[in-house]
Amino acid sequence: MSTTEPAIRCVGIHKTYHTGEVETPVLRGIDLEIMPGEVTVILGASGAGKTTLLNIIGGIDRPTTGEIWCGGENLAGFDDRRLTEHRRRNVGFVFQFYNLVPTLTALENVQTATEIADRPMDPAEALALVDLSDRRDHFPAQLSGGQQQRVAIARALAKRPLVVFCDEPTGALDATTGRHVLDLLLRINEQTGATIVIVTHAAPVAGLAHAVLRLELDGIHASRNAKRLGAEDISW
Amino acid sequence: MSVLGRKLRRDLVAARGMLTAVVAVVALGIGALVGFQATSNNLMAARDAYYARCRLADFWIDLHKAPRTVLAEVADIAGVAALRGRIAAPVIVDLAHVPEPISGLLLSLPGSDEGGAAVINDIVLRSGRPLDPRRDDEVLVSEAFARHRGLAAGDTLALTITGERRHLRIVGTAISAEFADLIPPGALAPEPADYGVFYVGRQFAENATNMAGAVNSIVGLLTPAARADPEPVMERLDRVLAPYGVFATTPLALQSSNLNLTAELGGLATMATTMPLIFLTVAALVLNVLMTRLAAQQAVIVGTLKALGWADGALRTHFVSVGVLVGLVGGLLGGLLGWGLAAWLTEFYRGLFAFPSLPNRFYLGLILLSLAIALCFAVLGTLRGVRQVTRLSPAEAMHPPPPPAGGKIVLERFPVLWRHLGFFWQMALRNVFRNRGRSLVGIFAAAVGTSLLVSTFGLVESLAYMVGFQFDQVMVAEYTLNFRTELDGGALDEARRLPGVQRAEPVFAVAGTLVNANHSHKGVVVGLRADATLTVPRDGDGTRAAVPAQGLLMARRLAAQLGVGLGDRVWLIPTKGTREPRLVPITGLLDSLFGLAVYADYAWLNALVGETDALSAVKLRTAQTPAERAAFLAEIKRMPTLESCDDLARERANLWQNFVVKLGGMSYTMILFGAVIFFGAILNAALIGLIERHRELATYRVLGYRPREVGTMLLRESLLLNLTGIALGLPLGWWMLVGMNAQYTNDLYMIPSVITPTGWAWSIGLALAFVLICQYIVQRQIDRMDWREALAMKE
Ligand SMILES: Nc1ncnc2c1ncn2[C@@H]1O[C@H](COP(=O)(O)OP(=O)(O)O)[C@@H](O)[C@H]1O
Ligand SMILES: [Mg+2]
Repeated sequence: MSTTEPAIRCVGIHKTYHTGEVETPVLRGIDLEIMPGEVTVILGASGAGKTTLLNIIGGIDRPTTGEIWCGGENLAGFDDRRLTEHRRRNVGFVFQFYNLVPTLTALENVQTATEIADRPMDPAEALALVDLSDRRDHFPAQLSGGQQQRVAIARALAKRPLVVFCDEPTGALDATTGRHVLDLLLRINEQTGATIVIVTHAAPVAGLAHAVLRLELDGIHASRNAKRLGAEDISW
Repeated sequence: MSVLGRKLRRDLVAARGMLTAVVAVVALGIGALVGFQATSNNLMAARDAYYARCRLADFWIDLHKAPRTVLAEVADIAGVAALRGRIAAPVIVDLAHVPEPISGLLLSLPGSDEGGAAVINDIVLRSGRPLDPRRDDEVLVSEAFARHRGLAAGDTLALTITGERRHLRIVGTAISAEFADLIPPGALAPEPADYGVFYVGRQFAENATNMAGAVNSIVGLLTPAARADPEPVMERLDRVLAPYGVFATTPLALQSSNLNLTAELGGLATMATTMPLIFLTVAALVLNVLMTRLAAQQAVIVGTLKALGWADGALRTHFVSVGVLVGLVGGLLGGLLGWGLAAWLTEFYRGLFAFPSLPNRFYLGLILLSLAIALCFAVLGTLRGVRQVTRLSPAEAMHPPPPPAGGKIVLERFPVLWRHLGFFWQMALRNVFRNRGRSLVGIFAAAVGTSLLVSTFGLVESLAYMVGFQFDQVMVAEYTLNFRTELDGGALDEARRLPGVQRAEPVFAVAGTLVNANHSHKGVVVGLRADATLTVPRDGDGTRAAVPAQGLLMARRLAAQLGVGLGDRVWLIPTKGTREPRLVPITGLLDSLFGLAVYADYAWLNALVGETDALSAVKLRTAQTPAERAAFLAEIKRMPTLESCDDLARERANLWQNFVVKLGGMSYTMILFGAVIFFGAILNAALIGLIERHRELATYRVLGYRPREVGTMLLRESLLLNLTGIALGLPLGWWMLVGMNAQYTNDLYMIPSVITPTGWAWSIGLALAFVLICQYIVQRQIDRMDWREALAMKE
């Protein structure tokens, strides 16, 4: 057993949405650990609550009950202001639909992260990391889906976060482009040692991870891959 | 510049058309505020300086004749601070090249023995030199009259004073604060070419009017305490002077020139508050719609930025700065516009009022205040949109926004009606009802814009009605010969024999005081013959009021002031003669537009004051050849008893010119204001809708709809909102018109609110034209829309 502290540790996470009279329980008692420097894949069917879980461990949303330990502090007890501080310092996000600001160039989109970070990379350096140095002045509409997602990854990495959360990062991309994006994430993990959490409904992606968390109706099931695959080895 | 600043700049550029429209509405609102307020400030400053410079009186007393010795007694009355006795007399001016007799007012200036204290109601010399106290053949002419008639120092002027023709040498021109707005007796508007004031030395005036050692006009100042409540002092003055025949006691508040100036300032104040309020409210509402849309459109971006760790405060500032910018730019442009408006209006007032100087000043405080107000409204307008953005948690914000409430709209509860509407109208109605807030803003803007049009056309038509009413229905005599004193029936025969006269009717006017308990009013009872056709008392709606055979027909306004009604009796104390009070019944009431008229039967009134066939004026109807007219004018010019001759055609022309010039410019400006509301609000709403429904509209294009058909879909919604707004704007405009006219209504006259079918039609027509022009612009956008790209785009 390793003695390393987990980057994030969740205990008994419950989440129930209230829409008017209707209560929708989504997460029912989730315990998990994300180890630093690793690639973790969270697998689950559509509607299983992956985004909900990611939002909670990423500090975007709060659980109904439960604890999220990160750096010795419990995020569940944070108010909005402290959650914002937490995201600003420690977390990077990559979304399924990239969520770039359409009126800003690639470089400027990366700047939206570096401007508010404590010890960010040079935004140009972050773009170089995702091989987009030659597209720095292009607007999102002038980039392909894969390129837009790479800008989003650069934006997530540029602040040197503790953890990068990726919610269905390949969901909107074709298989080949998707593989490129996953390959990029793995490469960054190796080169920079960044902790990466990937959420997906595509089971084959699990082959890339150090650790796999399967989100199912009765809870979460953790496993580790003895042998990891490369991005080029999988298809979905 | 921070990266969000750059985003802001690009967002602004993208929304430039819509923002420009909002900025224009803000600018007009601030322009109206600065323009009207600055003009009002200019006028007030000029008025105060002018009043102080001339030592304008606090009260005026017109009387028959009082010895100068009584002045000392009057000066002792509690509340009176200072006074001056003078001689005022009507004169006829005989200008060599003018066939008509022109009337004017002779006023005496203090004699050399009255020196010392500054003169009350002093003059301001405008050209030439002051009167030489050693000479008694000099005159100063009121400036506007001299200018219109080409008179200058060195000219000789022929004046007929109390029937005698006298020649005076003009030594200069002058103005005085009591005539800042000089309206001839009985007229509705200034007649600068046809009415002059002639200032002469006291000695000359005494000789010319047989008033040696006497005065017939007293002007005076009140103590500060009495100024606050002049009524008791007026009553004391009245009592002391009663033996000398007081025609009128007038406090400053009711003095004609001051009254008109005050009404004008009141009008400006109304404009300076209502216009900005209307425009800034519309701007705030439109901005609200614009920002709400921007917020909704950028919800995902905002959510993402929040997820990246941007604090709410920074994002709030980011969106609020749109409002700040609109407020700043609109406020600054409005300040500039207002300054120009003030320059234009002030120039206009220079022509309307005679001030020694009426400069257009720059009011920094006003501009700064306006800027602050613009900022407030603009920021208020953005707040809802901003709150909508920052309220959401990042997770919620990144969720696609829920579709607008999909429930049934009210109309769907009436299935028979609903099914009759057809698919496209159903769709339009659903959109209108589901964006309720925005629809209300659209309706409000259309209503306000329409009401501006309605009230503008109404204002012009109300004044036109008033002029037409007075000239076509009440004052139907072509000429009125007013005599200085009562004459007998012989004067009527003489008038009948004048060249080209078809009909002559006598009028007998008795000046007096009407008294009921502790209410009294000084005025004139006008005696008319039962068969009179040249003077027709009418109610405000045009109905002819019969003059009763006995008793008084009294303006309802006056009856109310006296606290009497039909059948009651009042005391009539004639100002001249024995002044023996008579108790007379009120046998008729009149809803007249102007004045506090009192009519009675000619013979009855004669008998009441112990006369037969006495008359003070003759009304004439003529059918004259040019030669006859020339002979006619030459003869009346020579009449020794003539006080003035009213020429209906000339007065009418003068009045029309006055109103057309004045209102023409104003109404075009107001129509422009209305247009800006329509374009600023309606076009904006349309363009916002266009952007928001880009994808939906693109889908219709894919389905094979023609651009015109897509445009018609939007037109249906636009018509639903705008027709509702226009319909609401009609009564709103009427109500605004009544409010504006009330500003100019006082004890003496009221402006009736009138809009003809033509006025309604123009208002509706223009409003519809604005709506259709907006639609045309929207249609062009649809024609040019790149709908393939719209569908491909992933936001
Ligand atoms: N804001 C919300 N309010 C109500 N229900 C929600 C909300 N967000 C998600 N859900 C519901 O929670 C469940 C899980 O959603 P989500 O976490 O997005 O699933 P996944 O990402 O695994 O597809 C779904 O049934 C979804 O409808
Ligand atoms: Mg999801």
